[in-house]
Amino acid sequence: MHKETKQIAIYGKGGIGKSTIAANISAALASAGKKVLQVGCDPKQDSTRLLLGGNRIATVLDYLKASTPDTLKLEEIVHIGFAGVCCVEAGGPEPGIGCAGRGILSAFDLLKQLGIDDCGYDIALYDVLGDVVCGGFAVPLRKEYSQLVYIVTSGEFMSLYAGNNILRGVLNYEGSGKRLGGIIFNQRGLDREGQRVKRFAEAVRLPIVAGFPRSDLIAEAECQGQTIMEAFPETELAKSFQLLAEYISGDPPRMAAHPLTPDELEEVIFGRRPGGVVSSAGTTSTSVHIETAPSAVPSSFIAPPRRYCSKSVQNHGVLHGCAFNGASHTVLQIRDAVTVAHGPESCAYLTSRGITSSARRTYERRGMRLGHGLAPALRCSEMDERIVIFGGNDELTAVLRRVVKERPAAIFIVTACSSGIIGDNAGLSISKIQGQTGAAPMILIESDGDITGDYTQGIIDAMIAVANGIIDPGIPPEDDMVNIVAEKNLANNTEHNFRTVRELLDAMELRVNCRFIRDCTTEQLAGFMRARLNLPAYDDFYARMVRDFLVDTFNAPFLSSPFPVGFHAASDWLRNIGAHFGKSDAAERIIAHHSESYKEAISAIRPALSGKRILVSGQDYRLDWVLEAASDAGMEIVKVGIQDSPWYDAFMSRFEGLAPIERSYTRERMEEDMRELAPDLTLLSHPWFGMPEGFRFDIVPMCPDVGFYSGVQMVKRWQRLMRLPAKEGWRNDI
Amino acid sequence: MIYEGYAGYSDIFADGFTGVLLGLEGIADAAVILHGPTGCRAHHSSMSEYGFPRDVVHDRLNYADRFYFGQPRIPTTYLDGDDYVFGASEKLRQAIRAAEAGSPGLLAVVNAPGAALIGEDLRQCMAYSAIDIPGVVIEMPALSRPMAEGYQQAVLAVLETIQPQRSPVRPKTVSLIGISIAHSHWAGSLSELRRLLALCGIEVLCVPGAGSRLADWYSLSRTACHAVIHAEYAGRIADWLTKRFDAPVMFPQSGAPIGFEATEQWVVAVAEAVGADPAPALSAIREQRRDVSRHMSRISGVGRALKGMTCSIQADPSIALPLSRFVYEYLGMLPVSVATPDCANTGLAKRLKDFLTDIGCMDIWQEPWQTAGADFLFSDGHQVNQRLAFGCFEGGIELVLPLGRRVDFVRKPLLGAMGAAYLVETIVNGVPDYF
Repeated sequence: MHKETKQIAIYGKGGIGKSTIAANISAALASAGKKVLQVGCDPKQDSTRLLLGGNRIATVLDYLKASTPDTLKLEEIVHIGFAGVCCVEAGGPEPGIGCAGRGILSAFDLLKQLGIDDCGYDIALYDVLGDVVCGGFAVPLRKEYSQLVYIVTSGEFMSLYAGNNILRGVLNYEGSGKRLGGIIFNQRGLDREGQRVKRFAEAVRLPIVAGFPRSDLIAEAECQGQTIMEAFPETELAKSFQLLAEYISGDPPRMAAHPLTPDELEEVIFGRRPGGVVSSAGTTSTSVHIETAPSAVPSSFIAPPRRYCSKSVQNHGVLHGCAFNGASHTVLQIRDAVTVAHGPESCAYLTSRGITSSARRTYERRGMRLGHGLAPALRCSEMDERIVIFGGNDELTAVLRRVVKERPAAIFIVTACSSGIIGDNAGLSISKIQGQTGAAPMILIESDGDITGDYTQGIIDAMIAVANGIIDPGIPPEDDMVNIVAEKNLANNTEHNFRTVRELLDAMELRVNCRFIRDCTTEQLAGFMRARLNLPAYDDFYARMVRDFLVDTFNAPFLSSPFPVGFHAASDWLRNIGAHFGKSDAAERIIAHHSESYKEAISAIRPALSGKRILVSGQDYRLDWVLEAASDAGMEIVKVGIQDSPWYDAFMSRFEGLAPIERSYTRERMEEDMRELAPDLTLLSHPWFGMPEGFRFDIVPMCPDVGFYSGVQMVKRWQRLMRLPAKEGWRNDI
Repeated sequence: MIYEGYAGYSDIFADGFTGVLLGLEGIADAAVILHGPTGCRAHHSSMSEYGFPRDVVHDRLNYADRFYFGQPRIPTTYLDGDDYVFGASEKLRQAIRAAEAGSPGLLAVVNAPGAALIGEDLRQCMAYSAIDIPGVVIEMPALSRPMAEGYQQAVLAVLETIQPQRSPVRPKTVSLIGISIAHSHWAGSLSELRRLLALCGIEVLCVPGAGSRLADWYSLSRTACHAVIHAEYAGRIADWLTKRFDAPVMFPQSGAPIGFEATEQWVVAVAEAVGADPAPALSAIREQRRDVSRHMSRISGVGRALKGMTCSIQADPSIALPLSRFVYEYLGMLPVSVATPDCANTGLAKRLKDFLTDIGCMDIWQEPWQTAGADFLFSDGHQVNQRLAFGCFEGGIELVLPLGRRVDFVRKPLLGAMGAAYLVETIVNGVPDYF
């Protein structure tokens, strides 16, 4: 706003008469020769009506919605009213749709962008709804918008309650100085109303700068669509407004906010101490003591425990990635389905880029082309600033109409955080379209960006939604069929590992029925129950959650061990599967065949590594394959350090007792160990700047290749590392 | 081959949110905080880190602490569901302090789409932190708007914050406006344009939003001309500059300096604007043309002859216009689809349509590349990589936001004379043998 403009915010509960008071103050100021701007910040859009002969004007948000960015003009939203008062209504969305608070933010941004700051107003008056002091409705409290805040209230409890809330809002913005001008008392003619307001004013240490009695004149002027200043300029009431206008436009004192606690407020208003806490049985007990820390989350916001959740969600940890992305990446694996991202285009772009990037890496590094990964069938409702204010159901409906014409086997709708925050009802759009003849099944996954959790939570939720929506529980199992469950769709070696596992299954004469959920069709998913056994790809927290859900819901039988990494694990895995399908002989034949090759390979490496000391650390809790390979190669395992992981929760090892194992291992501890234990080779998850010099290190892959020879590949690499200098030359140039 | 029938028609592009972040990350000494979830940040951090490498990142654990999570660029306040309800001002203040520890020249805070809805007072958080460097705040990035719009939003926010003061103009100096670190090979392109302009005695003082340090931005008031590279990324910035300073803005009539002719026209226009002689640069361009021509004559008539091959171009008009002309007129390749992501009807778009009409190809305007079946695709990294799903042995050339894993140790240009040569080289080595 222009440097000389005095900026004033009038806050009050809805319906308390703040717009009438604001309009009369503006009219009085303008009549006194001031250049005045009044901005209505109430979705009711009637702040300036009395200044405009009872007429409503196009709001800033309506204008923003109907115009393109290059055609916006200030004069289209600033209307001249009584005595030259410039009138603006911020406006708001339809009740129940979109986000009114965001609307206020956007309206203020647009006014600023169109140059309202340069219009040279003497006074700008913001008339603001104070029922909900969220971030949007608090915009006029910001330093750049208002220097002084007045609270309009009657003696009703809810009005004073709203006034107290406004004080709490002001307190949050008070860093730059005192901001409160006082209380404007708008009487409703209630019994002992004045005493309540006076007690409140004293308690919050604010003056009552004006009081307006209940008057028929106001109602009469309103009928004429006018302010008192216009309709009855010679009355006492008009003089009161003039006096208030003079006071406000002068240099009134500024006071700090001293809001009351809820108990104090009740005591002040009703003149009695509040009662005790009502127990669930309905009896009142004053002996109940509830301790609350100032930053504690109110119990009403604590969600009931979820049954199937990611480790980060369960532990209230940092959310890595968002559920929207995890859910989208999961359902995009279904080749004959289309996924609709209900959110801004950036969300869809990042999702699409992530999956394309992963598929590209798989192609470049492993030579495997993944069509669905490179060209994911993703559409977007393209929420922009206008849509997040007014709600995005129309746009979502339009996208769904287009997608239905593509005739996919299923449509998944995944919601981003913008949709979740404004409370869009995507189900409404789905129900509109679903009635159409031939429309595919539509499954809504309300991930709401990361509101429901992290990337892994999104995967779990998507799998649950797909299972509940598509799996036919009545299909009987067929012989020699297995499902693959919980592969990691972004890992570079997922396809490689699947092929390795499939070769082993082929050798056992077992067939893969469905990959849940990876590179599959809706038909394969529907026939999930055909498999007699489900093979989990991993056994980390997420994979166990997916398993638990499928067991609980469909009674799906699971193998206890994940895809095998290393010789021992592969042997056990085959034996367990063989036992389940009555194919133990086949399993032993395969193991025997690979046993020969494994021994041969390890024997060739052993002379180079025998006796070498190795320190092993990592975030992947399945390290036995590494320990096995090191041990078989004759290396001495000096220590195993297990770092905390966002994905794993329980480290178990068959090498427990054979080597010292330290959990919650840190970088600092590893540095100490490297110096003390002097290993010939250190395995870690990431190298770091300032690592002790002169030590050879190698990286433990987060998602290792599976099969009998995982460890062999690693020790072959270590054999090469032992022949190389510990530090490459380029590291000296950093 | 179209994979499964449902894929491949994606018209999803990076939007203004990406434009804002990369516009600010284009300032060499800026620290940009994303007030939002980690999910909005990972790819942007990666785009910045690989597009504009400046930190020594042999050390991911150094950034494994709070706000960074293993990536050196664009720390984030990792908002979660509770933060959307209760706000996250304190977290943001802590992130500001953490970013400030790196001694940046400018600190910016950008709201993620969700955070933009909760109305946190970012300026107040910045004020509480009492930073003594310029602070920029983007409360509502240009969601679902073109990336170029977001980029300009960021540059303008910086200009509004630092307010360079009017100062005496230095003759034969320019700023280059309308290029971002999202443009492939932007650093190599700028080196090439600096080289050509230096041959004419013209010095480049500043490239706001693409590699210049904040201190260089103040020289915008001293340059004799603001030379536009990509018009889509420059319009509003040009308006801002012309309102405050005397220097003219040169909008290239043929689009960006892509291909030899557009480069010649661009150099001549800049030289004219500052009163310099373009002859030395034109001579260098001619020499480059002869060099390319010698290579082309050697391979012409064997497997990799380009004449008669087809291409699809999906890019902003400032790229699509000169590129269409270059591949058609210079290489003899036939465009079979030409599309602009935002379909805006700008002056350059009109000239592009005129060109397509002149060569009898107006029917290919805004045709999706997916159905055109071209031998080669020029588009953003995301689209080029999607082409692999169609059974193509190579994707094409990534014009913006490259996604391939190629790391350039030696700078390559896409603009200028050497850029034209590099384009031809990449096309020749990227198309299958025809015969």
